[in-house]
Amino acid sequence: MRYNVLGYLIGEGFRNFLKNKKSTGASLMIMCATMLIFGLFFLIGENVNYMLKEIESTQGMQALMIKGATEEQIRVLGEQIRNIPYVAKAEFVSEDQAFNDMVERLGGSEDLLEPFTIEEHPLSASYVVTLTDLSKSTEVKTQIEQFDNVKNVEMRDKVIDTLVNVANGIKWISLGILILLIIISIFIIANTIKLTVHARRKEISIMKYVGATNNFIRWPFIIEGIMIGIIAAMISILILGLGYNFVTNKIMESAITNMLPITLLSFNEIFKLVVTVYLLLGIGIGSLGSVISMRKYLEV
Amino acid sequence: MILKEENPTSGNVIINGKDTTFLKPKRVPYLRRSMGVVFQDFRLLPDKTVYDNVAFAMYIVRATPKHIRRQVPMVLSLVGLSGKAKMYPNELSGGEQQRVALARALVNNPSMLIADEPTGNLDPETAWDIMTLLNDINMRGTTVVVATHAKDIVDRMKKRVIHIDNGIIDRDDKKGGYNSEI
Repeated sequence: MRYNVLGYLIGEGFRNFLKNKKSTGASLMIMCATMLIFGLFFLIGENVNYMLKEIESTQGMQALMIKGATEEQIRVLGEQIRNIPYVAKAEFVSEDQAFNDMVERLGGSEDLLEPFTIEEHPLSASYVVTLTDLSKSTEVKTQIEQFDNVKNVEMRDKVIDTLVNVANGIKWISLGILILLIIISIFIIANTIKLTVHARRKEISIMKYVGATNNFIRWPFIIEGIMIGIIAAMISILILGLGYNFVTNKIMESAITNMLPITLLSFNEIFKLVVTVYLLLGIGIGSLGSVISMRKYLEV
Repeated sequence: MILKEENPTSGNVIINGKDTTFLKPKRVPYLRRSMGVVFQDFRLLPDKTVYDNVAFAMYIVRATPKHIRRQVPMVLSLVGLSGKAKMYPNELSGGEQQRVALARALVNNPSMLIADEPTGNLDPETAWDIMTLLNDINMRGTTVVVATHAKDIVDRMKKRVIHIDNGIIDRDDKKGGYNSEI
């Protein structure tokens, strides 16, 4: 018996949707446009975040120990570093290993290291520390510097700071744009549905006189809004997906990639996230728009 | 005021022993369901067939499909519109539309039927048909309240007449005419 009412409400929603092709089409297009603009920023933001993650997992800092540290001192420092929050892992590099690395890096010209041997050299043991959050690197650095047996801490890369700033900037900009676009979309949807509601205001008042509850009248309109939202989401996903693949392919082909370590997400990797975000947006905007536009007309 | 479309400036509205003067807006739909209403301008849903217009009142009260399929044709035959179930309101004459409105008002078996100038938009002959129909309904045990200024109809019905002037009841006759007791 509940099922029957549900069927009726959904059926009415579909009927409205098909009946007002013009206004439905208009709001569909506008919603698609807003979703695409948002999608653009969303994808850029996601990619910067992804790159940052990649860098975070490889970049970090090196904590050099004093020369001739005992095994006990090494063990204690390792534990201390690993206990700092934001530290992903701390890898120990012994004095011998450091020397061997140096030899390897110099390639054929080991003679440069002539006065030193593996038993006797100035390189000290160290911990290579990688972080879970790059923006906390200075904090971690000062903390490590305060531990015993640490000679100094070397940051591996200065690029980190700028990148973190860029990522944060993009995050805030896209958040601002998202909020703005959501508000615009809600108003547009509300207006579209208001047209329908206005055209049917007499009908609505009749329903009220016969004893229909507000929810009973409201639901078909909400379903109409949700359907506009879902269809707009699907169209935008299609366009965004095709466009994104095209652009990433071009970037990958171009020469920049060879010079800079750019890694981009493929659309398949973020597809699920985009779909979820878009559907939630579509349903949310659609239903909220309907509810807003209905308010005035339900007072009888 | 009975429909809770407006609130009284003074006094209380009591329906079926319940004071509805200060009824919460949320409860109003349920109050309206307990009575059938017929308006001067019929107030039918224009894009629904006669059958759906009547069935709509049953959807609202969450009736079962089985119940709707049984009840709707029954009321339609009661008002004499069985043959026109699939037509739309604009294909019907005024009298027929008012019958549809009546069917809609009756379909949920209300204890009270309120008719606000039910004959206002109809020619005298159709008006009388509607009134006899209302009389039949009254005979079946439903309270029928008719608001009208059609003098001839009041005089012919010879029912209880309540005369209201400027919001004050100034006459209440058991078997009355429009102007005076007969």
